[in-house]
Amino acid sequence: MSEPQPATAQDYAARIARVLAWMQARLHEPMPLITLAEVAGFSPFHFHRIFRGMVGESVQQHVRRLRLERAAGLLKTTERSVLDIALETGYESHEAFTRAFRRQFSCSPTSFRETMRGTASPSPSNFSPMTYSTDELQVELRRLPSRMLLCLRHVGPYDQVGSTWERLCDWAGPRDLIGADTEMIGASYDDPDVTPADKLRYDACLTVPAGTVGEGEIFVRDFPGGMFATMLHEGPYQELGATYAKLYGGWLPQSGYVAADPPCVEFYLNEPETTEPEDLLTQVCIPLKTS
Amino acid sequence: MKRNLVQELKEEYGRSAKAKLLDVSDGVFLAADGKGAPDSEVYQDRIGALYGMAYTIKFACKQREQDFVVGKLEGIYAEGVPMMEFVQQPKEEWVWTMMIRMPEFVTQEDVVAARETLKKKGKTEDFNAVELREIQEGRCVQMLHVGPYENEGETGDKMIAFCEEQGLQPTRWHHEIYLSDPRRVPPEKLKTLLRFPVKTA
Repeated sequence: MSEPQPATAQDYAARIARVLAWMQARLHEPMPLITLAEVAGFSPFHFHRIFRGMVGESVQQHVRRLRLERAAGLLKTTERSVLDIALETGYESHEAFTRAFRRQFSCSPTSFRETMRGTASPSPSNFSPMTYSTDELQVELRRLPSRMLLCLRHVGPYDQVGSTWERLCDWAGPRDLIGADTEMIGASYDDPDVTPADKLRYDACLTVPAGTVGEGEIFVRDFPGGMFATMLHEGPYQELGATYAKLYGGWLPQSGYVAADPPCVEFYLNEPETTEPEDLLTQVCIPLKTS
Repeated sequence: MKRNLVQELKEEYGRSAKAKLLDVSDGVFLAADGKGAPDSEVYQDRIGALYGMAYTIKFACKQREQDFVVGKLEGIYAEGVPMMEFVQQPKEEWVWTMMIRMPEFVTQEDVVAARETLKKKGKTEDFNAVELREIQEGRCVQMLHVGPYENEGETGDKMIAFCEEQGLQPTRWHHEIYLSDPRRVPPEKLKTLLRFPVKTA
């Protein structure tokens, strides 16, 4: 796998364009993540996030859409059977294909064929990068100091981290480890577009004094700090993905920086139990390579 | 079932971008009185004591299966001084009662026990200054203030204009409910509910 090159917007756009073209030409083949990342010249971890940020949909969504669009073209311009086209599109049955087709085009393959027969074939999708306004990309570079963290690991969907937080705070609270200056930090290791929801790794973390000792699953570790690109996310936690897309797909490509290995960290600036979801403030921080 | 008064009392703790009239329910609070600017030692000591007590009581209640979410910090400023006069005073002269609302099942015994627990742990804040107190406000005008605390007067002006329109007159004091934590949230994003009791003019 190639090392990340000096990063420019054109360079990122060129790499994404390269992989899009590669995918377009092989829609009937399986597309392992590793191969796609290699074609683009990104590490597999960052590839999906950069892709989603720049293209505006995940790799899976993109492939599914292109395959269905191609199938639509075949329906219009050929006499091949629906089942035949379904199989070539990567579906194992007529029914599964029809369901997916209906979701995309709001009609069945058969009625699509009937109404569209004879019209021009749809042109293959062209790539134009998502554009973000300067207002949307208010990014601050920060050097975060190292900290001692008291952590509890959560594995599962991000919208279920609440119970992990509760367990951590129930342990730390009576031991006087939560005070006015305690910071609540979430560390995430996986990209929800890539890793299945039930396997997402996340640490709920509280800043604690040096010398603190954990117990059982609750552990203490050193957060080394370093350079981060940060953006303030305002609104429900369920919408954090949009802020990550802006950072990885909007800001990073034109920044001249290269993303470092995870975790990404989130600082929670208010209490979710007593704050309206629209008022929640989260400082999202993605790690950068420094050399 | 975990009690969460901020969620339960939406009308009182929810945001309202415009001035509104509401009937505030009677509530039980941990309360600490004092005088001085918000950056003074006494103010900081009282806040520390309030949070220490609130969380100690919460964990004690949780042990007996009466869990609750610790609510927002609130402050009542100066009985007898209308809000628009108050905001003109030098901060050092400010007389206040800082408070955190408690569910109705919290008792005087809980407060005494919490003081003991905290003192045994070697905590040095003045926990005797924290009392359990019932506060009744009744009919009030309330509005959300967004931005630095220094600009609260601008929101106050809108509340006064609303009162004049409605034929109401502010009484007693003004009350601030801190929806955001000023140590973490940038000043322009701070959200604070402003409230004062009113009577028909």
